[in-house]
Amino acid sequence: MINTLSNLISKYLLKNNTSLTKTDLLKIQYTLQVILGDIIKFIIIFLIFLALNQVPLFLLSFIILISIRPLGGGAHCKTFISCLIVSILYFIIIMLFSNFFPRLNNNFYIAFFAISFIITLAYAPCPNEKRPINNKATLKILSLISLTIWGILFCKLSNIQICNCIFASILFQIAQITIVNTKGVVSNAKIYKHFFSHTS
Amino acid sequence: MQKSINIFSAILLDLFNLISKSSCASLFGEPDYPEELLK
Repeated sequence: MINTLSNLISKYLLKNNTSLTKTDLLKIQYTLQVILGDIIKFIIIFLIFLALNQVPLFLLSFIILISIRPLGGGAHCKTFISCLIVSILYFIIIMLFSNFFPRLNNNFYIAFFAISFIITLAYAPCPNEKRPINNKATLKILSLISLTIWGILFCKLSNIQICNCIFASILFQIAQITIVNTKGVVSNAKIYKHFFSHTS
Repeated sequence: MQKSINIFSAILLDLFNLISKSSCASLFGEPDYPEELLK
């Protein structure tokens, strides 16, 4: 459905904008697929969290996710449905963790953020098997800045739910970066095959 | 109308450039990157 809609819009644009080339058409189709896919996913997950009465927590975890994932990368799913399922599970786990996990010792969090910083410094951004990443140095720096900002906010805030949400989101991100990088892009396919049968 | 179409096309092409510079275009899934653009 997303592909059909993207194709329809891009062909309409091509027909009505003579300055567009075939390459531009492909770029527009790809962009529309990304945008429409994310909008649909966001609406579905938002409605789920609206029903659960947990919208603020969902929005916070969403903000954390969009501030770290486009920079650091991570695991990908093969199909839209599997991506949607993994996304729903991700936000539900973060929500449960935020609500029920107790506050741990401060030294543990200091060690966690230090290790996260080192892993990000060493491995971010994750290789993307679907397309090359040309600006790795910039993405690494931005990932480190993002991680530092969330680390500072974690230390400054006293609300346990918000702190747990930040902690869990970063933990997921660091775990993905570590797994994808240590196993490599080729082995990555095996991980997906074993753990997420619908993912790539 | 024509102007709106031109602006919309330009915005989408700019967004493509932005997405291409990110490590991950989407949340947990990413559509297949057009092979023609990899050449």
